[in-house]
Amino acid sequence: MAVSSSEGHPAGYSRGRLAVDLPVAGLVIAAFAHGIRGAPADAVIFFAAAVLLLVTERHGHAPDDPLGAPARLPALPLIAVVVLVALVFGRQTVPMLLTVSAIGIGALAVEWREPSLPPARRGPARGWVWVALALAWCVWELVAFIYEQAAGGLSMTHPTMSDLVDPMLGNRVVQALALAVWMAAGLAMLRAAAAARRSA
Amino acid sequence: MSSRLITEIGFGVIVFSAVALWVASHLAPRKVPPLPRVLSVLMRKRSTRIALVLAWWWVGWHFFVQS
Repeated sequence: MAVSSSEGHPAGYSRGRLAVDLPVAGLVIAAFAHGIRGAPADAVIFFAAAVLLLVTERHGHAPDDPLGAPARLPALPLIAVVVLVALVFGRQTVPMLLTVSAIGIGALAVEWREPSLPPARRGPARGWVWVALALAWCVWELVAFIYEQAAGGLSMTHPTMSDLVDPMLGNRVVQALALAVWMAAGLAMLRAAAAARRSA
Repeated sequence: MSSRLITEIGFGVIVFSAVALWVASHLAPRKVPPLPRVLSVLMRKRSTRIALVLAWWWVGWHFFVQS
């Protein structure tokens, strides 16, 4: 799969309007949630991302700056690598930590260097159903999380998605399959972002 | 019906809805837009891209690196 970007800024390039930037607000809320659940490293990562986004949007590319060279991501080799790491080493190991970290840093680097594009004139009809589904999942997860925290951090009555999924990942073959799905989802997301740049 | 079962049913409905939407978007893409098409509109904004990529990465980090 190739992820490419246009060589220059499209007409109408604009910086983000951070005063009402919901994604940045979401990152800050996620950072607080990670802090509450006792994951300070995750909280720092999400909070740092929010701050860096604010700084980048204020001091990022000038409209006439050229964009970086197109990036190409080899989809099948990447999926094969993560499957191999899962099968050979399993999760919660140093090789897995290095692999997942490298993938995350790479994906963020690819997307961070590209500026915001002008808003689409019109989104796809009924695209809201996907957004509604994502919001429903967030709300349901948040409700379970609040109940879990109220119960002292381990809730048998209102399990979060993590509580339900984690026990299924004991087997390395299942880990490999889940990791392949995760990798494919990420690549599909990067491909969608590249499609947006091509259409600008 | 226990609260745990209600919670599980809630997650089940969300997962089922996602699969149903995914199938519908492939069978009738004019009625239900495929998810990549929706994402390509949402991800025009850098902060949305970064938030989505970070959320995706964190899922992998949470389930495969953290305990």
